[in-house]
Amino acid sequence: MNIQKIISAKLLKLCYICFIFHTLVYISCNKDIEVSSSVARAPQISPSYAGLIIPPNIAPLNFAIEEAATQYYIEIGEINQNPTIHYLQKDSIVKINQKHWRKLLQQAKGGVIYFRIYLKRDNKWIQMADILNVVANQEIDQYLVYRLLYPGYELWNEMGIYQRELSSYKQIPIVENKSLEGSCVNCHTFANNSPETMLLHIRGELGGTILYRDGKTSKTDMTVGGMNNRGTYSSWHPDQQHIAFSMNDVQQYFHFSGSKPIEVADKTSDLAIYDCQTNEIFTSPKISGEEQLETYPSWHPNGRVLYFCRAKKLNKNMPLDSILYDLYSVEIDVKSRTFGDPQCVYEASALGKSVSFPRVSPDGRHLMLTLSDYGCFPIWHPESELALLDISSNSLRILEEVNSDDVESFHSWSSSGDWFVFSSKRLDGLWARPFIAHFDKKTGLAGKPFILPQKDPYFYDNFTKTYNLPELITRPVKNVDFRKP
Amino acid sequence: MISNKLRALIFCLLVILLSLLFHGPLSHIIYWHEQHHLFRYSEIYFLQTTNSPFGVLNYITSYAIQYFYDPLIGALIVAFSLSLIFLLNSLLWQKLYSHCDYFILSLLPTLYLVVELASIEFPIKIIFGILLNLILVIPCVCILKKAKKHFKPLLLIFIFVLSNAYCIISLCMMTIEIIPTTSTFKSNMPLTSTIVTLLILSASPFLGSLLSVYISKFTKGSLKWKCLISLASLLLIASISMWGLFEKHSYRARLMIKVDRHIKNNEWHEVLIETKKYQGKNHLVSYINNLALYKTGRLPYDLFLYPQSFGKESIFIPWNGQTKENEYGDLIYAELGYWNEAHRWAFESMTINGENAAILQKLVRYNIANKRPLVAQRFINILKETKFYKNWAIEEEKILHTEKINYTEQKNQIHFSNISDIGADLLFITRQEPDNKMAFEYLMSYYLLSNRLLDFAQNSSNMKTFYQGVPPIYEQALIVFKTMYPKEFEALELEISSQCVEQFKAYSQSYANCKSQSDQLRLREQFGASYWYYLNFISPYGNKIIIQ
Repeated sequence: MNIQKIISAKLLKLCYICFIFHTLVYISCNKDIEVSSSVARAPQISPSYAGLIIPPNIAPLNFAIEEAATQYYIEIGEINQNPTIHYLQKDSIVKINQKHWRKLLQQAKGGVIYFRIYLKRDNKWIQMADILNVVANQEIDQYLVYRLLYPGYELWNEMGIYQRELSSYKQIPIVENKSLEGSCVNCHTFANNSPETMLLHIRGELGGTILYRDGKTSKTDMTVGGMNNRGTYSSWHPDQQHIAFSMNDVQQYFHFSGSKPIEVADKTSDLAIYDCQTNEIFTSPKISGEEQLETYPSWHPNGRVLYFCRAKKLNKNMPLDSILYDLYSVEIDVKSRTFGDPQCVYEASALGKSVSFPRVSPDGRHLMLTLSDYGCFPIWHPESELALLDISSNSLRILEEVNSDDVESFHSWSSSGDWFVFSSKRLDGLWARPFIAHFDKKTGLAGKPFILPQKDPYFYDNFTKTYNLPELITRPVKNVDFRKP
Repeated sequence: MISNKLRALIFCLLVILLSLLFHGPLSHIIYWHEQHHLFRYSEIYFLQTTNSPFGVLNYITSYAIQYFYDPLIGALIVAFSLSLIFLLNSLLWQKLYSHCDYFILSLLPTLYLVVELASIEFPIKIIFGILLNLILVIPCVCILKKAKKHFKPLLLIFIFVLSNAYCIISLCMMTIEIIPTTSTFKSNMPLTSTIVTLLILSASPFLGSLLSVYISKFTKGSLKWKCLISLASLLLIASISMWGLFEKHSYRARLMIKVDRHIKNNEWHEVLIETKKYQGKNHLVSYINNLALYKTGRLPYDLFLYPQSFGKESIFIPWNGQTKENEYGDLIYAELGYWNEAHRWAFESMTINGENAAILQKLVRYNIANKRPLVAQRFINILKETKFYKNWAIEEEKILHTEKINYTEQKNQIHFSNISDIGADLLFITRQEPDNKMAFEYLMSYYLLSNRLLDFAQNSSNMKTFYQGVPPIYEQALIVFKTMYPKEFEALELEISSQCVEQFKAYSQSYANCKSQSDQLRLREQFGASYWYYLNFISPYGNKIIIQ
């Protein structure tokens, strides 16, 4: 009897403590602040997650409030609704609960969400203007694949190709070079944003191209007889059987002084097509030859047209800044292995510009490319910018809404064409970071780009690896062992 | 088992002796590890480091090594850790086996580690790994002792493997360092290491106990014999360890690390003193030595006082991606004020060697000088996460956007680095910046060392700008030039001192009469530091003038 009483008393005491605790938590989480004044401007936050169109399945946009205050109160919710997320804290770093965020975005699909921030200064609460972001109806592909390495010159050490789940912060290695005896891994390419058909190159002792198709890995050597160079840049045909690839003899030159550290140019480059089924490579003098430099092949979704970049052959005393690439297209029937005549789609050279990375949107209506002053390695050109070609009218528009004062380079469409990712060095001029932007297929306009969200908003301040070749894929790469093709 | 008193005594002696060792003759090891590790107080660093094989161990090792910043504390940490290995190892065997080990073979792992640690190649994390494991294992052994009988064999195997897994990792990893690595071997490393360890190290104290038991049959437990055996064993182990230490210790590595320290402290006279002690040919030493000559203002005077057996490559390092040379290739470009090249070398060094304070500090400076404050800020942010470099980083951050740094103006003329030969780059600099004294002296040295006398003379017009009189070795070169091209020499409007003329006559005479080895030795004694001697006997390009 006595024991029962003691136990009951203890239980009661426990319940009482829990009740007090939860009440306190509830109180602390609830808005218990008296706003003294409000300010018409929105607070500065880092990263700049304001005025965006975001996918409803994106990870929480954690941010840091760049306003001095002794305390912060943050409310996040759907516009014209009560906030569903709120924090009262002394820390200026806002880390949003993933579960609550996901729920909010699903509810606010097609609508607008707000970040409402209050600052406590001199014991008074000040309300700042709301930060608004639109939540699109269209989801973005689940994963982003990229290579992480130092933005170095020639040498490499640790590197890997990783996939990042876009709805969370999980980053999983697809392959790290420490499992490949320190070889260089590069140029991961997917067919139709699918992880089931992909390839990547390996340089070093284990050199070659690893293909993953139909659940099997195989190794191949993408070289054409008589040519010294191996396969470099690739593009899967929509049939997932053929791969258009370029073979490039890449040369690096190091600027002794000035803002550009490196120049990269192809001494020679040609195109060819690889047939995965027959393990054969075929080409044509129309897309390979000594007189021209052909590179960056990219298939149209219809599978009949191949886009690529072409420039005049490099001569011995030719200055590097006179190498200008135009955008070309050629009709190819991969079954009969017949080639049409290449047509110049956009003559960038006539305007003193050079084209790189042509990528056609999944609906076949637009082609995004990178424009720079010369050459075909825009990642080292601060003037590089993204442009959009309307395929039906051949008119080109610079994507002013997306470009910055620094490098915008490699880009990749989502499987639906509603989103694209691109590499930008706008933060510091050295490290490429992946930026995501919405694309309106009807108007051809892009939304304001935002940087790939990280758990720590200051992550990019200390991260010294560069993001290379960001590619969106619909599902994760699973159970692929690249060590044993 | 050893008596507790003896164990404590050995432990204390070890701490003292090893502290003296690592604060004295092996202090360069402490410095080297501190310079090649960087511990950061950040979540990202923790996650990145621990998310790899031996990640936790690497993290703990880096944490400990950060305190090597203070050489005395570093020496104490190492000494204490090594001594603790002996103490715990000896306690462990006392728990496991009740038999005496008069031979005190539990000292073996510690002394073996001391010997191995004399080489900078030895991964210091092994010490902390062993220590960790011993700390974890001893409680397990205590549990074993109290466990029920039928559990004991299983527990015994488990603990035997576990305890030796690291105690063993010592020899385990040592063996791995020695055996040529292949991917197969590496992938089977844990298993191989465990087996190797079990075979090697676990044998020793056990073996010692067995021997002790055997010997006690003859000594009949006599204390005098026990002491004699212990003493003899100690002396033998100590002698072998000393021998091992002398064998393992690299005088040259020690010298180079000292040189490195002087370079970082801008003590160029001291650099010259140390490099002079280096015996044998070493490209890196030659390069650093010549840089020190420039920094002390002696390059046009004492260039040939030192062996320049690498020819023109004595003054620079051609790019070849070599790890050790990568760390220093930036120095010359930083001094010349050519930040892109300096940055390239430093960055490549970071790519290969990883992020450490020395490289990050360079990258901060180079990016500030090259007007890339945002890039410099990244590296500053990393250093701000450290204990001992935080203040430096904060000071640099203050000047980041405000201070006017002497930087090289971007020139309109594009010039690409010649990564395998600095000559063209030096010529470019002297034309862009005629008042760049270092570029001038290096260019002159480059031509002299590569037998390009004509180029030397044709580019010598700035001599009057930099010097009141013509430096001796330039005079020596000019007098040869005058002999071969008298008209061209007149156009230079440079004077050669009568002293030089006399010396040249004397040299020419001696050279003409030089028929035997002893003649050459005499010639070397008298004129070894002259350009003439270099041209005739040392230049790797033969003894003819090269015209390009």
